[in-house]
Amino acid sequence: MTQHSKYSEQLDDDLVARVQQGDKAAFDFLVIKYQHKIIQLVNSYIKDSSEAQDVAQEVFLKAYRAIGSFRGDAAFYTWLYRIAINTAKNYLLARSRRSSSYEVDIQDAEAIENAPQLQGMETPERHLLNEEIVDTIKIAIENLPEEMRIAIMLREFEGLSYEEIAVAMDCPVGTVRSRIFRAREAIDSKLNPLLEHGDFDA
Amino acid sequence: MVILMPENLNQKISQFIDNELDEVDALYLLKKMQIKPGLQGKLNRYQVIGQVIKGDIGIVPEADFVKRISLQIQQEPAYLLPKIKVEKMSYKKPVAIAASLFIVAIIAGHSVTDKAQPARVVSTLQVADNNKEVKKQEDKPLEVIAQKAISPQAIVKVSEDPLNKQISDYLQAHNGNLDTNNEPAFQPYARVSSYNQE
Repeated sequence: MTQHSKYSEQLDDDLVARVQQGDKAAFDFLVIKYQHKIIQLVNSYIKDSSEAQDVAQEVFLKAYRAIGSFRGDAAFYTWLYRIAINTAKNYLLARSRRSSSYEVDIQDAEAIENAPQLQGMETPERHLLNEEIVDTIKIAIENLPEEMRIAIMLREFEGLSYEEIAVAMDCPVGTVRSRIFRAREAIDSKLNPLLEHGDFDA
Repeated sequence: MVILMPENLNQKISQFIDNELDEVDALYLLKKMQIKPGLQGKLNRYQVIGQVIKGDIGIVPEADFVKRISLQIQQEPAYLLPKIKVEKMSYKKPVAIAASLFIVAIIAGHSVTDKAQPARVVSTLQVADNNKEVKKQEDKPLEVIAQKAISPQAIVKVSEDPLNKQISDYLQAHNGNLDTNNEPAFQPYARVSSYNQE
């Protein structure tokens, strides 16, 4: 575990402890921190983005209701991750029972992952928008100065830490931090108008 | 705490999603994001960029995602950890424990002393014994003496049966119990048992 992932877990532990002491606002921080990851995770089971967001919301509510029993044996995100997977699978099972004439055995929940017909389909509009988002980001990355492009690829694609990137690029950590941030800003300047005019309103 | 300009906050967001922000700064940033939804939007877009680079097609959370959950949680009860009872140490408790230990130590001490000097116990019993023959039993330990003593209940039971009157009389005549009242050299109503009577 790197020093910074340790910071992240310490922050989670601190926030969880605050929620367990009755500080509901601290749970908002956990939602802000993990909303994207949980929505993507649920979206890998439930393709419809609107349904995925509703289920992700249910995941956070379940986590809040169960947080009194969270003892910190595992990392908070690991715990949340399990709740998300179970909630998504249960949702798909319930939906399949409602919509189909055949029964799905509860033991076969794993099979849902390999059953696209149960996962819900994305709308054509959504599909088009996704393609547009991907193309926009790809073009923005291609147009980045080389140092920025390498820095952000090493971070996002290879998963290297700032220190490792600094060694690889033979530059100070501060420069890596700056290059990655500038790269994101440059890509975001192309992405944001697209999202503002799409159905995301991010 | 240094007040950060929006540009710096955006850079902090970039560090935050890379797990390169320490706990204090991360908490500060989360507080800022809670009151400024625009910063949450920035966080979400940065994360979508990362997902597309990794090859996944990401979806951006709806703008009011956090707010909707927050509102629902406000209507929920607080799910607290069960509080661990911290027992207050009353000043009486240690005193009571110390007193108990003191008494146990005295009793244990006496017991050890008594076992070490069985002859003294025997000599005390001698006082009540009308029969002087006990002297030859002085070396026997207290437990053996107790086993040999005749129980008063047994005597009562036997005496209730008229057929055994003769035996009862015999036993009473040979009972080693001695009841005294204000007799010199005896405690009031003290009962002393002797043993090995003929």
